[in-house]
Amino acid sequence: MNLAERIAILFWFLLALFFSSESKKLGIGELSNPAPGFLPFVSGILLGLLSILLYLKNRAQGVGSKRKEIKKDLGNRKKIFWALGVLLFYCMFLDWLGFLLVTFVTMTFLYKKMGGRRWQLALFASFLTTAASYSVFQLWLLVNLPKGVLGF
Amino acid sequence: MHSLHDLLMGFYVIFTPSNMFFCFIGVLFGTLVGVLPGIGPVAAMSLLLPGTFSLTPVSAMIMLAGIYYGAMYGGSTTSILVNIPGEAASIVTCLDGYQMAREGRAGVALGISAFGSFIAGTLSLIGLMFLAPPLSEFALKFGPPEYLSLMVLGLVTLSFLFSGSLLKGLIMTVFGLLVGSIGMDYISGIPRFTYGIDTLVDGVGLIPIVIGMFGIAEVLANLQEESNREIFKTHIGNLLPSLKDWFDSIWAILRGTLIGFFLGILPGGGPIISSFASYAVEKKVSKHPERFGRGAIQGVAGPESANNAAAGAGFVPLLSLGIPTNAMMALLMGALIIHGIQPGPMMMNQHPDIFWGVIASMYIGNFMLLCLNLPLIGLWVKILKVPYSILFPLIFLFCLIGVYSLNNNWVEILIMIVFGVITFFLRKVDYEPAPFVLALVLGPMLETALRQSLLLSKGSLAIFFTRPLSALFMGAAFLLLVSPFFRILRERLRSTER
Repeated sequence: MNLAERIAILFWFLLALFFSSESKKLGIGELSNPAPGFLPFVSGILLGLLSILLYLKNRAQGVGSKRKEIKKDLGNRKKIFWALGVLLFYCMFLDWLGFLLVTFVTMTFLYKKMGGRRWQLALFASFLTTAASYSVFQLWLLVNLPKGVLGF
Repeated sequence: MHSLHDLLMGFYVIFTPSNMFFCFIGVLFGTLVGVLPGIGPVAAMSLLLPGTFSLTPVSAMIMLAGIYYGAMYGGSTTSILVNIPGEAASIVTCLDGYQMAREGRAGVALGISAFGSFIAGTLSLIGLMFLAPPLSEFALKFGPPEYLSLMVLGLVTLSFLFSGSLLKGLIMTVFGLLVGSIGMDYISGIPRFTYGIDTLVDGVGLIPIVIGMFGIAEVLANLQEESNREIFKTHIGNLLPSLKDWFDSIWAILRGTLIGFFLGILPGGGPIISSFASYAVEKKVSKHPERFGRGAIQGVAGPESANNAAAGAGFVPLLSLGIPTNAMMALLMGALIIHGIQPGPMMMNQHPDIFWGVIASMYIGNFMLLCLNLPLIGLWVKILKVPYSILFPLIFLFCLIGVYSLNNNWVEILIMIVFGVITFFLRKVDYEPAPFVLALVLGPMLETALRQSLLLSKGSLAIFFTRPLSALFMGAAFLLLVSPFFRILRERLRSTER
C-alpha cells in the first residue's frame, strides 16, 4: 500500500473517531427517540469500519505496492503551493484591502508569476479583469463587494 | 390531455422575454463550460447560483437547467477536436469522435452529435412530461420509511457506479452525511459541531463545497498536469451528416435515447453511466465491432444521445419525488431549496409554473442549442485555443467572487479552499466527489426520515423491511452492497476449478 493510500485511510479513521466521540457529547438517544448525535454517531462508526475494511482489503491485495513515480506525482507542486497561497491571500485580505485592490494584485500575480506573461500584459489583463468583474458583480448584479480600509 | 394542457401553460411561462433570455444565457454558458476542459457543469451551476438570487425561482431554474443540458451538448466538441472531454459524460465520445476528426470527418461527428443530442433531449422531455405526473401522485403514498430507503438506494447505487472501489464510494457517502450533519439540528434546534463559528450554524454551505470540489480541485489538477491541448488541425467541413450517415446512426440515436432515459431515472444513474452503457451496447449490436475506436459514427451518435436523454430524465425523480439521482441534480435541488421551493410530489400542484415552465424551457433550450452548436462551432474552436494560463486565473476569480457573494463571508471562501484541497488529494487516490455531494444534499432529509421512521415504529428497524416498497428499495441496495462478494466468490471458484 502506498503512502497516499495510507494517509487517506488514516484521515478517515481519525475523522470517524472525532465525529463519533463528539456525537456522544451531543447525546445519541435511543432507537425509539433518537437525539441530535444519533446519525453522526452511527455515520462515524460506519466510517471507522469502512476505513478499517479498506485498509485490510488494500493490504490483502497489495494495492499501490509498486511505488508511483513520485516525481510525476508531485510535478509542478510549486504551482500548486503558489495557487493555494494566492487563494489564501485573497481570502484573508479581501475584507481588509477591498475587492478592487486585492483582485488586481491577485490577478497580476497569477498572470505574471504563474501564467508567465510579460509585466505590461499582466498589468493590463489584471486591470481589465478587475474592471470587468467589478462592473458585472457590483454594478450589474448588485453584489456588495468589500471596499476595504482604503475606501475603494 | 391534462399534461398537454399543463405543457401549454409551461410554454406560456417560457415565452416571456426575461425567461427566454435566461434560457439562452443558461444554454450558452452551459455550452461554454462543456467546451472548456477544466470546468464542468456542477462548478458552473454553483458559480452562477448566487447570481440567480435576485431572479424569480422559475427564471433561476430555467437558467440552471440550461447550463446542465447545455454542457452535455458542448462537451462533445472538445472530445472530437482535442481528444479531451469537456466534461465527464463525453469521455467515451473521444474514442470514435477524435478518430473521425483524424479521418477528416470532424464536421460530420460534430453534426451528428448535435442532432443526436437534440433528438434525444426532445424525446426524453416527452418521457418526462408523461412520467413525472403519475410518479408524483404515486409518491404521495410514500411515508418516511419509503423515502429513507429510496435515498439509501440512491446513495448506494451512486457509490457503486461512480467509484472504481465500492468501499471508497461508500466512504465518500458517509463523509457527505457527516459534513451534512454540521449545523443546527432541525428537530431539537441544537447546534452540532459548530464550535462557536457562526458561519457553521446554518450548516456548511453546499455552494462553497461544490465550487471547491469541482472548481478549485479541477484547476489544481490541471495546473499540476499541464495537459497538451493541441487542436487537431483539420478542416471541419460540412456539419450536416449525409443520408448514409443518418442511416448508420439513427438506430444508435434511438437506442442511446432509451438507454439514457432509463439510466437517467434510476437512483445513482446519470449522463456519464448512460454514455458508457450506450457505447457498450452499440459495439455489441454492431455488425462491425472492429470499427469501434477507429471512427465509427455510431460510437459518437449513441453516447451523445444517451447523455442528453439522461440529462432530461434526471428531472423525473427530482421533480416528482424530490430525490436527486446524481450530483448535478443534487445541486439543482439545493438551488430550488435556496429559492424556498421544496421539490417533491407536491411541487406540481404548489408550483406548476416552475414544474411546467422548466420542462417547456428545455424544449426551447434544445432548439437553441441546435442553433448554437452548429453555426458557432468555429467560435467554440477559437475559445478552445485560449491558453490555460489565461483561463485558470479567471476560473479562480469566478470561484472566489461566487462564494463571497453568497453571504459576504470570507469563512466560506476558506471552506471552499479546504474542500478544494481535500478533493485534489483524494482524487489522487481515486476517491470520487459525486457520492459525497449527493449525500451532503440528502443528509438532512435522510436524517429527518430516519428519525421520523424510528419514532413511528417505536424504535423498531423492522419498519424498513416490512413495508413492501421500502423493503424493495432496501433489498436492491443490499444486493448492490453484497454484489462484489459474489464476484470475488465466483472468481475464486473459477480459479479452484482450474
